[in-house]
Amino acid sequence: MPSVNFISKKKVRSPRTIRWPARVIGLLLLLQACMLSAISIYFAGQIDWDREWEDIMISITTLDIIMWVATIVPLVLLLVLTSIGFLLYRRFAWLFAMTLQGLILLRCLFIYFVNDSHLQRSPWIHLVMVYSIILVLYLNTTDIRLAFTAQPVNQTK
Amino acid sequence: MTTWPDDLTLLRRFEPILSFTRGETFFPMDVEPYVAQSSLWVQRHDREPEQLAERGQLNLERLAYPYPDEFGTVHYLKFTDPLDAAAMAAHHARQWQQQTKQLFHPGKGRLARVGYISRFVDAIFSLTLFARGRVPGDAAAAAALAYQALADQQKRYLYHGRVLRQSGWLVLQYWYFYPFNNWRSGFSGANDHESDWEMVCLYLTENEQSGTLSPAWVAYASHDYHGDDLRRRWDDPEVEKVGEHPVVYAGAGSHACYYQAGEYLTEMELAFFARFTRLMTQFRTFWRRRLRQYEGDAFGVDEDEDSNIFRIPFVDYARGDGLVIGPGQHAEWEEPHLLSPTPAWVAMYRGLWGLYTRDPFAGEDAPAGPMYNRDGSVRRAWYDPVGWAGLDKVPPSDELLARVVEEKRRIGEQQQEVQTLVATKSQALQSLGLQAAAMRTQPHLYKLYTAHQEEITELSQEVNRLRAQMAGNEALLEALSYYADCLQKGAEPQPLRGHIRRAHRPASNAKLRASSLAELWAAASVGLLLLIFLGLITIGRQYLLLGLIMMIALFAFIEASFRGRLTRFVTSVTISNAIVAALVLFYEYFWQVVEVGVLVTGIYILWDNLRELLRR
Repeated sequence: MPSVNFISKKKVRSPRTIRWPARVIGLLLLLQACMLSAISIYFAGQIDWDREWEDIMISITTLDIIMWVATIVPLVLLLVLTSIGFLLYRRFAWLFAMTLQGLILLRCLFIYFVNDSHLQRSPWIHLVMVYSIILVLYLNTTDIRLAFTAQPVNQTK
Repeated sequence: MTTWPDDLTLLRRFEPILSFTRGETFFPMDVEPYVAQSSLWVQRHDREPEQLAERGQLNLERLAYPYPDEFGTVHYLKFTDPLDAAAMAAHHARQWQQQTKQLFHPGKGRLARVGYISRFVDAIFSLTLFARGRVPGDAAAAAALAYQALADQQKRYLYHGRVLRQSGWLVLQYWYFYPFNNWRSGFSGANDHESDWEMVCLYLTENEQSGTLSPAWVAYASHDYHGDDLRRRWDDPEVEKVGEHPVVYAGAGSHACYYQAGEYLTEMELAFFARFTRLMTQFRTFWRRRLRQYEGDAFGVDEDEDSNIFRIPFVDYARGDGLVIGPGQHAEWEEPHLLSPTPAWVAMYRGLWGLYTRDPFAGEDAPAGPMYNRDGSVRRAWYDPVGWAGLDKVPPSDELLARVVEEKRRIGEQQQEVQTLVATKSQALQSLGLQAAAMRTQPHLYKLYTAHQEEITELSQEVNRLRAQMAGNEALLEALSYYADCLQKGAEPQPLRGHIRRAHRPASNAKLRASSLAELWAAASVGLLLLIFLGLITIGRQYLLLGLIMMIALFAFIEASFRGRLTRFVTSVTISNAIVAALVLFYEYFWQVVEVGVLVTGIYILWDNLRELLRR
């Protein structure tokens, strides 16, 4: 006996169909790269290098700042690459962007929970956290997530 | 009056074909030689086991004797005794000589197919085997030798059959008795136990007018599956058939019955983890359904909807590449033994059909007979075979149209009654409304007016309920009409597998395609984690928390990479980080957050109201 099938397939948008949101994310990531660079330069500017050279032991704050810069510089470079990926509507960009936000947040949380320097209470670190949270929320909106992560469905005419 | 064939003819006409996996040792046999080879024992509470009948003294007649005893007593058979070293060596030598075509080759390991926590729980479960009761290590070898000795005398493949009628269905039950279940020792499964009873059920419709019998449904017993999930429609492509004989793929060692050849991932849930499992399921439902995470994912939501990290995974190999027993196959069935009417040994013997190990999980204890559960209660598959497969709510297909028409008539009549009732009640409601309106301007009638109001409220609610019932009946009648139309046109409006909630499918090729590296990782990861943990507490105790977090993150990352779920992993970790970061910010800037929140809400309300005002 023939049977009736009620199941329908959900349509998934491709990255190209969300051109504007993709461009916005690309620009937001570029802005984040600039912001992180600026904060890193600001932190580096706060180090009193003369005093550090005189002291035998390097101070905890200086060490934290050096560690911060060392971890943030590669992330900044990757952020720039990812933003280009979004501007060119590449599928890999979403996973890269989410991974980078995860790493940036992890770095900030590490400073907050583990470090003992004045960076722990720095409002700039908190600003980085706020910006990342907003980006995570935006990247995880259903339309954008589906456009970049869903498996393409072969359409038959 | 149609004369139907006798039970034996019926059973033989539809007898299933059993397809085994290469390497299977035990096959369906007659119970009589097994019982003759066994001894009968009794285990009373807090006492040593006592032998009631020695090996060779027992037969089916003696087994059916009543054995009255105190509460908590367990009667059981014992098929084999421990092997001595010489017998064990002889068995292994014989196995070594025969190991060519008949050898079992395990597939991709079960551990590589499941997540890390499942593997961890599995490791704990394996360790418990040392503490709880279990079948001795040489039991499978001893059973194989005893079975071989029986087979050398007379090799017979035989099943026990039962025919009964219930709720309009003609039910054919095929009971298969195996002398031993060597799933654990032979095929890395969950358990070993002496004796094994498996069952396949066929549900037929009898057409009195044409005098024909038509199979409509089949149900194969398989582990903890029950109800609707067990049965398939006869015309379901999943049900393989040779002529009128359905093909059953038996699990290697476990003898569980499957519709398709393949390797089945069977998950065992421990009662201890039931609460965690429930919590996990609730969280996953919230995460997936409410937050719509993983939507459109490569794995989809349904792929592992039912799997749970707190269940222990086992693979049941039902490859169908071994011996096939059935009409026209490698071996034929002998004439079956009938279980209808119920023989005394089935009805009277409530004990176990093999060794009683006192395993708290009961997995290593032998099962009871076809009629009983281990605790002596009657099996549902025996007293209610129709309900056991969830068919109790399905009328036989040849009665379906008549039943739908009858149901339509019944609902139609009910609808008329409700309509009459609504008309009467509506009129009464209007009368009350009129009276209340008349009293409204009469202050001295205040009490009466209040009572009327209460009555109006009650009656109004009742009329509302009746009208809702009418609307429901109307919709139901429409659905029944559509259903009847479809049936008249010969189309079945129900999807072929609409009744199945949790189908047991063989592992997909994608799941079996685990690389050797993934296999190695699956085998080594649990031990490795424990060793690293030991290193942390020995060498760097001050970094224990940090080290643990890093280690778990690294293991989770490797795990996600091997299982092709990197996107899910990254999403979950990033969102978790975002949540923690949000909580930190909320803690650090509590009053500022409150101020900004109030400010934004105030501005929004102001803007919204002003916009509405300016539009006028």
